[in-house]
Amino acid sequence: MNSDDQINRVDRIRSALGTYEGDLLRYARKITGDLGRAQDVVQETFLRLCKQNLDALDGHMAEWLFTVCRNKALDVRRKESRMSTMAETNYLEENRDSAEPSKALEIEDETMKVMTHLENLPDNQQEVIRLKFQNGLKYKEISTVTGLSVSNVGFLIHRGLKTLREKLRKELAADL
Amino acid sequence: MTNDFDPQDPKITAYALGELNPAESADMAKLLSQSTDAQRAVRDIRKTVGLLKTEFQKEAKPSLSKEHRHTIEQTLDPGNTAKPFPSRRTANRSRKRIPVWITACLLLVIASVWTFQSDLFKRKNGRKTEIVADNEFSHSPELLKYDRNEKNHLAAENSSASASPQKDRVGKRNDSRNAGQSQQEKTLSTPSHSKRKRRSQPFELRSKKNRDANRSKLGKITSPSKSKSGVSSFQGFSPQKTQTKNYRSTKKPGSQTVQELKEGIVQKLKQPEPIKSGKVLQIEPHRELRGRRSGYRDAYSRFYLTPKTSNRIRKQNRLFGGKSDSLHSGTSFSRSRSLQKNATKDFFKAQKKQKKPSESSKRKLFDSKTKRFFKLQNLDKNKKSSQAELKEKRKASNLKKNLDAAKEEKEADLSDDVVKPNRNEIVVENEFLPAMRFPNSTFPLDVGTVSYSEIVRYISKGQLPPPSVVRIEELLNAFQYANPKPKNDKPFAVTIESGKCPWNRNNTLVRIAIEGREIESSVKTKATPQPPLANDVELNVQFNPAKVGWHRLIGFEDGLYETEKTTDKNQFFAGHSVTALYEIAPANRSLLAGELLKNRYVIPPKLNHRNKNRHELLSIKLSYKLPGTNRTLSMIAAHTPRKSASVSNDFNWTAAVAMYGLLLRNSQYVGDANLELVRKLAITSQGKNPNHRRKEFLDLVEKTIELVKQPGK
Repeated sequence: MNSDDQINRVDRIRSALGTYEGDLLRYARKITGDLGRAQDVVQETFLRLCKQNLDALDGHMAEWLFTVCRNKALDVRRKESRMSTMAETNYLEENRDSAEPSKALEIEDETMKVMTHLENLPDNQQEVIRLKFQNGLKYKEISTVTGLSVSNVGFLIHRGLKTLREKLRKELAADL
Repeated sequence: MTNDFDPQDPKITAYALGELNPAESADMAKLLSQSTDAQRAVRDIRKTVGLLKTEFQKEAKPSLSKEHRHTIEQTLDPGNTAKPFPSRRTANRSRKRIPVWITACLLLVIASVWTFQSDLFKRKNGRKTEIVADNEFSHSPELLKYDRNEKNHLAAENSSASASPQKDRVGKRNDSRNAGQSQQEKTLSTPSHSKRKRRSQPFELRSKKNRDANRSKLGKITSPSKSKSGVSSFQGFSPQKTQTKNYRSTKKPGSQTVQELKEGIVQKLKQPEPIKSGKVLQIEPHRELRGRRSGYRDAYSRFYLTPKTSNRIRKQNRLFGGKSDSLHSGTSFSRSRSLQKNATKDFFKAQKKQKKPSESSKRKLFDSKTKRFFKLQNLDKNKKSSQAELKEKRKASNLKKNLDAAKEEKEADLSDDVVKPNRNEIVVENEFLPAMRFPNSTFPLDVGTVSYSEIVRYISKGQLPPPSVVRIEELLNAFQYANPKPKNDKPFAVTIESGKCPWNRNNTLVRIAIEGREIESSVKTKATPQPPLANDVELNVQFNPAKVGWHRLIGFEDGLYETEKTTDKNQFFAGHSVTALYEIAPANRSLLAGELLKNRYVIPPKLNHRNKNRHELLSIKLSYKLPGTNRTLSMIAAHTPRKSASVSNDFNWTAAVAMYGLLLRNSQYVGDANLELVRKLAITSQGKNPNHRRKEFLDLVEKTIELVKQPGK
């Protein structure tokens, strides 16, 4: 009986790993900015899942995984940023006026890239939009993961989509 | 619920995404039926979401590494004993256990040695008295020599000018206590003499007894009368009278009988040769090594593993020649710059040698001749063909042919009135250097802008500049950049930016900018010469071999800098700034391994995977002295690239300028660069209010494009 429970538990964690591994890695990479660190973060997340009571997580698995992953990724980022110099940080914040050379050229050529517009959105809007449309979370789940209120999540998604719609107006009109 | 549609209301989005509860949803549906704007909004939202979803689906899903997955699997199923590789956690545990094992082993060894030693001592002691009393000469000559060396160290250590090793030797050898001890030491000693010496030395120095003995030795030299036994009694024995005297003085009063002393003198006379003091001094390098370790740590612990590993390599390299030593295991920062320079220099030298193996005098001749040839070549209007020709000729290094061609062309083109280049040296481009072997790099902080104006001069005359005139670093520094200003009274601010290399998508381009503080306008009066912000400024760029496979400094390619730099004091003046670019190829394990296997004598340094700096791409250390002070200060700036971070306009501008320079120089690292790309990139990154220089550069690029398009150019 006990061993059956154990096997069941292991299977559930394995299936969670299969389902969410890629999504979590993408999410953590977005926050930490590096795949290596993202892998560390996701590993830690699943190690914590192993210690968790899975029955309590029933139906909230995605929510729980994304929350833990986000917190860990933010921890990592915080530690890293403490090490980067002041000058550098300020500089990057002040001068976010153009994309990378390759990207700058792409923009010139094809002005209607959704992703480039998305990348130009504020970080918090990008995050909720990704959680919503890439990972398929509900407003409520996103609210748990990010610690924002549901209405705030709705507002951020609305604003983000509105900006995108404005940027993509031509394309949307052409498709009509 | 109003019937007006508010486009700012998030509910419309929530409705389109199906996030509203039934009641709200019904309200929204009502609104939609009345407002076409709302209908369009919902349609647009859904369409945008559709676009987003398709784009998101295109994004590749990363997966966990084998190691990470294995760690999770192991936690899930602890019964699974198969260990294809050590997981992080288990590795941790085993590492923690190691010290315990080592300590246990060490304790065992010490205990056994101690028991053995004491056992032996007892036996020897019993015999010793007999031996010494009967015949001290029964000791083997090796042993005596050995003992003698030992004492010589002591003498040298105390650096007493008057007490020569010889004097000391006699005394100690005759000291029965020491003789016994030395025999015992011999039994225990390893075959390696030098090793033993080293080990025993600090011990002896530490021993209070010895210190006292040495002190008394020094004291007695000046006051020999204090010794109990009569010195004069055997002065007649020895031609080396003074030595005997000194020997007596090194001894503790009353610890020796006259008989012993006599024996000592006899033995001393039998001793065939005096000891060379050089032997004693051999020990010095080891002490030096110990002292320098801190400097080495300073420069190297950032990305590499334990100092022990590297120290071993350092010792080895010492055996196999000095130079690779500094490059591999690191040096104190103050030396690293010059060493790096030397390394690069050697590298280029070796390259040149490959092309033309000759003596330096021959090379000079070759240089001057090629210079002349090159100058004349520049007179030729057909630049491209002449460069290709030149390249071929350089490769073949056929001097005569070159000279003939030069003569012919000289005759043909002498009358031509064209701009003459001022700098005609053949410049060898910087190569990509493996970061594992050459983690350190540097560049001069003082860069002119002559090359830029020369290029403008050439282009305005409708002529492409010869490659030798193009100095990319001078082009880069001809423009002003919006670098952040130094804060908190620091003399400089360091900016590091990285992004994709526009002419080689696989590589990364790193922009480094150092901005000096500006002095307030009141000081700025023209009459007073400005004092430097800092003296003895040294720059060290250190690459993380875990992230950087190869690095190449763009520009800064002539030997000119080396000679110029040594004369000034590396001063940095107010308002001055420097910009440099590095092209970085990502780390590749197999490539690195291949690179490291090249040297069969060198143990490759290990990367420290647990290092907190392991995610950094590179770091910069600036050390300097504030004017009027003699203390070396330093600042470190590290750079960790972020995927989401975009780069500044200045980054793209420098990339465009560098690309232009690479094209004009006919660089072999030009990659996908072309003038059209330069133009595009420069236009997108010129900024909102481009200054005169930037506009001029755009014109320059346009003109160059036209020039290249013209037939025959």
